[in-house]
Amino acid sequence: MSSSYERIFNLPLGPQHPALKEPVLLDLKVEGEHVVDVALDVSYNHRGMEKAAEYRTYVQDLYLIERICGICNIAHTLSFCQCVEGLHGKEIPERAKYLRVIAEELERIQSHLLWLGVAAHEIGFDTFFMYIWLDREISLDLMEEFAGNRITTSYNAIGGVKRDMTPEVANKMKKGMDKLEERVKFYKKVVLSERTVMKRTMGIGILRRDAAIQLNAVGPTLRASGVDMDARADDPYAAHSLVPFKVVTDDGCDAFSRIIVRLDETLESINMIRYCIEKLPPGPLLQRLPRRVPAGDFLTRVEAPRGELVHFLRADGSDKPYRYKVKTPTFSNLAPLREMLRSKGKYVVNVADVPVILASIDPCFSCTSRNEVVKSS
Amino acid sequence: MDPSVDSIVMEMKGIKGVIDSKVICERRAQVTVSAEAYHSVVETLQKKGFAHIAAMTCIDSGENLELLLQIGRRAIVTVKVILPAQTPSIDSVSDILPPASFHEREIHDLFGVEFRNCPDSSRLMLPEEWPKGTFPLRKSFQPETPAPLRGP
Repeated sequence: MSSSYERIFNLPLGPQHPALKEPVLLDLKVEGEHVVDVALDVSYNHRGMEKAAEYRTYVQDLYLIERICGICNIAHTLSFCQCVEGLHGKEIPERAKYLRVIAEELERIQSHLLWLGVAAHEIGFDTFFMYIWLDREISLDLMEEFAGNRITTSYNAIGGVKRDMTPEVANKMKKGMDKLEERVKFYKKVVLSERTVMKRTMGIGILRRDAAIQLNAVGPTLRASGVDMDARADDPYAAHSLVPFKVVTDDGCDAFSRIIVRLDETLESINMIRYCIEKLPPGPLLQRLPRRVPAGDFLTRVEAPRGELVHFLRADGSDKPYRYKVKTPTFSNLAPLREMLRSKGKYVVNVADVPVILASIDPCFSCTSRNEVVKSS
Repeated sequence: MDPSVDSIVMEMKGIKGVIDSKVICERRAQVTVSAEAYHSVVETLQKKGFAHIAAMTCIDSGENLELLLQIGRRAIVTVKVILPAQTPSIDSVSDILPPASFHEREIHDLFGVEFRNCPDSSRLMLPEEWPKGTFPLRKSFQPETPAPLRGP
């Protein structure tokens, strides 16, 4: 790093800024072109959800929790339902477990493709972005056929799922998966051979393996640093203990690795959906549960598209939660993000790379700062 | 690889300051500790491989605040501390688990728990114009009820 600059000055990037459609303030400390430190402010998306959940019944909360994040709505409702089912001590029907996996993996496919499009847009490769988002429509159309809606599907219910998978939908799903597999393999080829992508992402946003573990990175950000941690494998839920899959990792530790990990995960998800359709057991969809939830604590982990999602429920025996806590993957990735944005020794962060680094963790700030109340009384 | 919850629960029982130690269900355990022993218990767990913070939760249970630190990768151990609601303060664990500072700042904003020796205690979650000393997730805080929606 050059030390010829006499002073370090603050460069506020945001809250409205080039990298994202969501507000976040990155208060960069720059020395010439190099970023030396950053302060994060994620407080622009207040919606008061954790407090609001305490004032609503469990059934109403299901729809509130779903709206924490539009893109990973299934991961959020899945966690919520698992908390409630866990306190009831009831298993859900086998068929519902498989259908939950299909819904979850379909969501992962559309989220990863959405992210890949955004990443292509960040590096100024807009043709790639348009292509990817066109193919993302396949997964969204399948989601609509399967769950009834593209986003905010309300698919998971307390005790099971709401819609069955008909043979016609299963057929469409299989065809859709074939098409998606072909396209994702093509995108992987493009990423591996296109110099625009490599130049803008290789060696950018480095997060070493030991730093990733120490700073508790989660999801594809962690797996791109060579750590095989995945809540689906470590702490299996739904039908994940029965559905075989590979935890995708990569040793590159940079933004390029994160692209590769997400592409490979999309391919893994496609195979998981195929397996689930093949092995879908017959049986009921829903196990009816009482409205009042027995008192107790329950913590559940789900691997959302962006990483480990933790929900915690304290029930007091009534029909409303006593306390509901959500820890989102982006919140865990804030500390690693700060590490990636600091120039250190030979590793320099240019101001122009900041949007790419920020996008590489696939941030979601509406999830992260969901839990405040807008007005004081 | 995390050690099994059974062995960790047995080991924790012998440590000074541990009030209760139990297995909740498969891959979940809970250790209740006194506020003085909190820091050293977290350090012991960290040395045994529980270095991944799943979440840090605070619960307002009336007279007390419960602080729950949920750590672990395959198995999750909850370290539970009970703090007085009037003057809640506890040692920060961010020297052992660096990312804890983000979780602590969130709880500081929303519940008013003071974390001693936290490297950064500036606001993380609440907007800058939020009144000082008002903690929105405490039970005493009542949110304004929005006016009911009216049809055209």
